[in-house]
Amino acid sequence: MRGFLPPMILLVLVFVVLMIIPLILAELFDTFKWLLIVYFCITVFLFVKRILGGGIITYIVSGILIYIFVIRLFYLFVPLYMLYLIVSLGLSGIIVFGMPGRGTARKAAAR
Amino acid sequence: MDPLTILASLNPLDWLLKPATDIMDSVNLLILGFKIVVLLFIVQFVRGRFGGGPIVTILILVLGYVMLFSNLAPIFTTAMFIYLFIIFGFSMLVMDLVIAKPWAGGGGGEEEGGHTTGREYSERLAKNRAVRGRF
Repeated sequence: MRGFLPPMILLVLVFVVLMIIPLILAELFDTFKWLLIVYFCITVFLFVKRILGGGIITYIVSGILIYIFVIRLFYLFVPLYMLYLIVSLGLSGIIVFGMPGRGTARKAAAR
Repeated sequence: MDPLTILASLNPLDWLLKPATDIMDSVNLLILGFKIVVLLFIVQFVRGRFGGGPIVTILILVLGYVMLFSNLAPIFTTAMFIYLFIIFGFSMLVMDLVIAKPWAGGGGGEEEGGHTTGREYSERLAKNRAVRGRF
């Protein structure tokens, strides 16, 4: 495949695959889905707690956000969170610069 | 049963519109979630600058109303969206893309001294010899 696909399409494909891998695993293994749900609940709660501190408001806002993002919009939130992880951890740079360069594509086309 | 009654009970219009209404429900939920997140960022910003107290709470409510529900909401929401993109590090991704230029076939390559494997070098050498031998 390397060199035969335009790099931009390959790049988008890599990102999309990395984004949907957890969804596929969640569909295949129920335990993984519950693990993801628990992880996202903790993440959302800690995010709200960091801003609002401990208290009843924190629990209410966390509950609303968990209902919206983790329960209702699970299939949208998981890929977006994966994209956020890829970008914030700096893996996007590795992916972008790891793409086949102009020379590689031309060499592959010449072959 | 009368076929028309069966058709009415199936309600094909509902079938057609259900995916659209489901998507709209999801979009509305997403917007609501985004607004709550923006409100949390406003709370963080105001508390970080002015500490706690009743005046700060009023300020948070006023800012929240202006940024989320007033006529200026679309402008502020767009700005907030861009701000979130920047703080989540998506600007780095854009910069990487601009530097690497994958839409132009990627950066680097042979012209700028890219790597050549031994096999490619020997192939090129053999091709050159063949060309030279022809003349």
